[in-house]
Amino acid sequence: MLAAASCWFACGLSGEVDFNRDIRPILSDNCFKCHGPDERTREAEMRLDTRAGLFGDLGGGYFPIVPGKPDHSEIIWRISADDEDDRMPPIDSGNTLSEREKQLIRRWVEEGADWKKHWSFEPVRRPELPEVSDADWCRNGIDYFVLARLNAEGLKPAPEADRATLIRRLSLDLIGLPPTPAEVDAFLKDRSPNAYEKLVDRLLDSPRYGETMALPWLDAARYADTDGYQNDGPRYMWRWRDWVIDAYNQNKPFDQFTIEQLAGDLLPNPTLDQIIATGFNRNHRYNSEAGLVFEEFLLENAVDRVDTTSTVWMGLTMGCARCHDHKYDPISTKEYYQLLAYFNNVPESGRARKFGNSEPLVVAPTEDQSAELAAKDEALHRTEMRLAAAEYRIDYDQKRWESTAAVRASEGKLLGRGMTAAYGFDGKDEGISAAKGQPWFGSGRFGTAATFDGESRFSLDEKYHFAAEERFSLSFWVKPDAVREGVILSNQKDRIQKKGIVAKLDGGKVQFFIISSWIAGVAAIETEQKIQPGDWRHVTLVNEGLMSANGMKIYLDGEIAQTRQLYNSISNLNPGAKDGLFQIGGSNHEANFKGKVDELRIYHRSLWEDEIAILVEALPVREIARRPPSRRSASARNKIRSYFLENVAAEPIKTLAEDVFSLRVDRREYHDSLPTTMVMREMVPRKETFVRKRGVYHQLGERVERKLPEVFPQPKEGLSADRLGFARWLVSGKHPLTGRVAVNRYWLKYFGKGLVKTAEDFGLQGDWPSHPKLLDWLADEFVRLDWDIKAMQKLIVTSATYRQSSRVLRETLERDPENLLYARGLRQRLSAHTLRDQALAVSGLLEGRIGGASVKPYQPDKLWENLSNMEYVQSQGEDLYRRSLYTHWKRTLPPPTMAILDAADRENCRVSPQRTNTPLQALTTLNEKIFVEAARNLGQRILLQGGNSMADQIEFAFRSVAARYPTDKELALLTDAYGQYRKAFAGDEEAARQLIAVGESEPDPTLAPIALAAATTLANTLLNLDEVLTKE
Amino acid sequence: MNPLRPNRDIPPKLSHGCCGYQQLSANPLTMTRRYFLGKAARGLGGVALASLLNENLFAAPARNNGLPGFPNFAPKAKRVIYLFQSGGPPQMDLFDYKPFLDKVHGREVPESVFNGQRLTGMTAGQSSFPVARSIFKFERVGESGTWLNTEVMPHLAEVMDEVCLIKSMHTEAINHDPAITFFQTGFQIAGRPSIGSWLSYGLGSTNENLPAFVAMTSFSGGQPLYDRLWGPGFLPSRHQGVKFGGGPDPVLYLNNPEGMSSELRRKTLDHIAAMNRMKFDDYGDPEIETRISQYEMAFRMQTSVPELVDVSSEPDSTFDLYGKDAKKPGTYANNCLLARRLTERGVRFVQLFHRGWDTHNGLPNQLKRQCGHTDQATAGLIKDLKRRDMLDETLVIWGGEFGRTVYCQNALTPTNYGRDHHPRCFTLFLAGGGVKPGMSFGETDDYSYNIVKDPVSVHDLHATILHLLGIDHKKLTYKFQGRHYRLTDVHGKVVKPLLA
Repeated sequence: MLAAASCWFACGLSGEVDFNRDIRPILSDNCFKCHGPDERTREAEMRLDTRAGLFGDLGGGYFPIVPGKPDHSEIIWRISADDEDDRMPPIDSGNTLSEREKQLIRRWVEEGADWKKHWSFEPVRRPELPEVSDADWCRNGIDYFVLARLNAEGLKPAPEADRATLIRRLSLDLIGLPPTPAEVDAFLKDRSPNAYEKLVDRLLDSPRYGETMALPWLDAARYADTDGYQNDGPRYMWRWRDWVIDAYNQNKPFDQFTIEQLAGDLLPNPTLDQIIATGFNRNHRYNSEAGLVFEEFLLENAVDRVDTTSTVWMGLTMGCARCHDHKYDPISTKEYYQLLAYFNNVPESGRARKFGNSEPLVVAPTEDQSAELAAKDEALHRTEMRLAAAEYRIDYDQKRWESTAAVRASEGKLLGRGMTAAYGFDGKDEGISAAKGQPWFGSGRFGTAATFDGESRFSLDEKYHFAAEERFSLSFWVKPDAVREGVILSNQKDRIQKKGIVAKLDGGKVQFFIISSWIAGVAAIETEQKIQPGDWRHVTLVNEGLMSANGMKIYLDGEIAQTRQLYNSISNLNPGAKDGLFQIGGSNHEANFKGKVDELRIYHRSLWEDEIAILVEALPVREIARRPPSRRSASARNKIRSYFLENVAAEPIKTLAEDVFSLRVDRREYHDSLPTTMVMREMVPRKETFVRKRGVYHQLGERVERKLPEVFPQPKEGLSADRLGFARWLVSGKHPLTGRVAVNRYWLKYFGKGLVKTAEDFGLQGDWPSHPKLLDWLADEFVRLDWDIKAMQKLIVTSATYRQSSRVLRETLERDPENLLYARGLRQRLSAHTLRDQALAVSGLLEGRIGGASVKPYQPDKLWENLSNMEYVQSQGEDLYRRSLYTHWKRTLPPPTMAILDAADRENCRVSPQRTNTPLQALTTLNEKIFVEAARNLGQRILLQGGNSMADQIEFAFRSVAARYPTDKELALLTDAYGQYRKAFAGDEEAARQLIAVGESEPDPTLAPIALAAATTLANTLLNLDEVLTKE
Repeated sequence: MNPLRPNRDIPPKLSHGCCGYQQLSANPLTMTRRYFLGKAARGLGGVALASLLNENLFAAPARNNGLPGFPNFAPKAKRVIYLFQSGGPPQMDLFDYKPFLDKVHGREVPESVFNGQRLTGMTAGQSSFPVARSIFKFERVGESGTWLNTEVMPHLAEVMDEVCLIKSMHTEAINHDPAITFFQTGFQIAGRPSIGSWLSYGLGSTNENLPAFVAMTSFSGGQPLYDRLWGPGFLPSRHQGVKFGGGPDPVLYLNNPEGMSSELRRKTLDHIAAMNRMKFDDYGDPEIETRISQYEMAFRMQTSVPELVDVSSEPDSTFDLYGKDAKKPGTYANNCLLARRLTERGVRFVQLFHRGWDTHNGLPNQLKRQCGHTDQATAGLIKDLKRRDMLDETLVIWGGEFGRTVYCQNALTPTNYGRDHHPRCFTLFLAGGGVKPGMSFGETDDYSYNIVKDPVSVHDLHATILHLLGIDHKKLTYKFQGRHYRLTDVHGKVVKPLLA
């Protein structure tokens, strides 16, 4: 219907009927549901979406369409039938054809029924510039197409907007902020012929340009700071967000921009930045509910990627084909799942973490952080070198010590740094009690060992807590008896949730579990290798604190073991909160262990491999000392050296050795603190993909392979069947949609709507372009300019079309209320983000730092607390005044100011922005804290910089927000208003003090409260003027 | 003098008095709406046209009139109060009386009852699924003799003859977010309009000073709620539910900043309007006129909303009905009372969300607490509507997003048990607004696990609600991404036996 709207005044019933523009939308909207691509619902075997279907023989001499012969065409008879039973569309479909639509179809048949493929699936062909009445008006190609159309409609373009309006429009469009009065003056003064172009170049070079361009991209990419379901916990994708800003500022060409975001990880030797870029397809919502079924959300994740990618690059509503063949576009369900196969091969669990990023992810230091990390590496390296340089001295000292009696001391302090506890099970009182049966101390690996008969177990008196998100290590010797299963150690308590950590044997394999709740929150691995009964083996379990089976390791005799993941579903923080006493030899509710356990060490840090090797060395230190160095194994040498350095060495060696350790820890702690970001990655082997019947996750249909929909030109040989091949196919320059869809969104940014109004749908149900040739010309130009994004922005904003005044003339409003023909400039309320940023900018509050973690500006009290289980911890200081694109976006409770002012909700991909006009918006810009605080800060500027007279101050204020000078009438009105505000506060200084105290910035103490409150009120009035809320 | 500066006589003189500010300009361009309706309507369906007008031309007319042709037929209900019990109330502990469970208490639920049903990840790993009977006392109440847990719902017992119980609700979702999103939007995945937004879009508002759709929440704790539950999805955002809160700002940013009196605000609004009118005279953009009227409505809301939420003028008898909690902003009882006050003033759809029904463990105590917070006010609302002759035209809906399992989650003791999510059957009730009073619809098996008679899907419920409001659920559509979407997706049947 929108297609009809866009041509109702333009094409009327005279002139030639164009199948794509006039006829297909009618058929699509009214007929395709039952006579379209979907085989399952096709009625009467009649198919009207293909040439063969429309013109083929229906049997018995019936043809849907006979070109030139309406009276022989079944369709014409059907749509005109008087009898309800014969008439199409049928009454119960809810569709009816208007007289005009019926006539159009008839005329089309009369004129020969010329049929074309759907326009947007045809290749882009560069059109010639059309003839125009006034070539002088045209500044570039755009204007020829616009003017030709205006000529055809008998309309004239509007005059160019005045300079103050132009600079404000350009600034708001290109950098998202208004110009300062000084910038306006400079532009007004610049009489050079290329003053406008210079201004455009200055703005395009501003780093604010990248921020401004990023915003619509973030909406399309459904970027947010939380996972979007239920508890809606935080995630950290700002490294990706900053990549986008940077890419725009660097003017990364659109093809590269595309390839890196869709498939940066698959590029040869990808850089960290290219991997970060793939976060585009991890920005979707991701459910963390404990009860969910993994397969269901693995499918939802992939579906979101397909739908978003299709919308953003192809303007296609692929999602319709998830459950059935697309009703309108030639995309079958099978093709949908063939495309989905490119996007579902990600090593992800199916359930998001409740807090933080979900796998797959990368550690993604910023440039500064990388430098800091390198500095720490360097410091560690330097200290290690100093220690190495002292080798001779250490050797000397160690030899002397080895020859003394001190060496016979115990080894208690071997690797004692960061150790929580050690148990030798040597029968002494070590804080061990029998928990069940009668465990005893039998002969051990060293001294005696804890010995179990399968019915007994010890417990440790001390409680130790472990958390999946924290590093810890457990090391011990174990010797199973003939029965090779059972729990070696565990700190589980309750039987149902089974919280805690467990080490056990299962058929000889060593298993390591971290459990937050069974089975919804479990990370577990097991060794491929089996350990044999009767053998002493050394086992070290390491958790790297990643809350993931990917961060768990098992070492057997100091070698990292090949392991297999049994579960990887931990999503809660601190699963150890309710764990119980540590039990050795069994747990409360699983098979107990039969055999021996010795030398248990507990660390609340992860041991390094070289340390584990030392623990594995069986010879005690005193034994090693007895052997000549030449007969010591490498691990024995390391062990005694480690012991010596830690316990014996004198200064300065002792301190040096301690420094190496602490620098090592420090480096790791710093690494642990670095931001991570979620990225795409491929699984090997590749996951199988099945058609899902009716789109339901567990209703598997046919198995399918990756393949691109047939309606499009297929990729050339040599493109891989993966995301990289897919991305390259999109930006090959031959894809009919990529360029059109991209330039249409650029157009939308400046003109408020696309040349195709349905920016999200270029399919059969989408709108017919208002200027098809202009669209193709722009799409071709984009490719011709090697996908130069800045060049395209410049092309658009330097057109005469863009530079028109937005004054609404009666004639053009009547003829073209929606401004589909562009006989005037766009006049539109500013976006939510721009409104807030403008207030920050004109008041001087704006903190201009680019990038970094998201911030939490003012929000009404208890907004989160009342609806969610999370506390909103407001940012402090300058973080209150960052640009709005850095505001923390909680999907289920978006920042209210933004939501009220129509910002996209970031739940799904959105490419068509909304602008409404509501009383809640008025209340927001009148009363919300930041708007009031900005008014006061602008008020301060008015008093300090605006001159002495009221008129000067008003003029200063007005120019700050509107760029132009006020008219006499406006000045008079505002002077009167300002006087009233002063009077109002003159009698109530307390009220003045209250008003200027709003917000956390301090009011200027040199200004009188009454004067400042009046100026604040004036600024509040100005910030709410329609013109100020609007881009003109 | 700055050469860039326009020449101007200083000091400026006012060319007209302030008293003239309020006068609306008689610009000839105000004709556009009528013009467009006349000229454009020829090529467009009525529904399409209206949405086009709303979205693109006159972003938000001062009055939201709904779609032409709506309601499609005479409505039974003019308004809806939906009391959403978030978290999933246990049907067999409240309405779905199952004495059989006493016999099988503590025994495993038979495989024949599970019948392949999927379990949540929370209990799928449980090794045992023992039946937990309800420990509460059930009685037959009212003329209808409906079984009810009178121990925790003594007040509801008094109005059961007004209530139409649906014991055979079922849903497709098994987790909170998809399930509540499904109830609110007809689809499990976020992105579609909520039911109240559909009604605002279809039927419009009947009060210029209040929105068509208001949402309120109570109880902090339990499952979180989300803005999308009252969100507009892909509908124009003015159809979103306006959230009324219990704090000093019942509507966000309603209050003037500290230090700015209402008189001063009025002055600033006059100045803004006068400036905007000058702009309109110069620029002719109809959007400016809309802006002027929206600022006026904002000012009216500053008066009408505080008056609305101030319940101090209510007589004592009101609080006898709703309970003393009704005096306390932010409580369920207060929200119920506000719901009545809102519907009295013409708000079409009021939805309350009460949290805390997610009884995985410690169900008996939690249920007593939940009902302690809600029972009297729910019953009080029904009684109050009845005595004001509003119940006939007000549809009251009570229910959660799914039910709970008959098998115990976590520890089963003689006095304690918990229940997991159960989508296969649960109970919801309707009252007033054209539904049959004092009836029970649908039946479940002995375990309250499967439906054995008259299943009602969420889509069916939606179709029925729309039907009661005079809407054919297949006709209320909005075109987005090439598709004509509706609340009931491609499903839904009106449940005729429920209609009075």
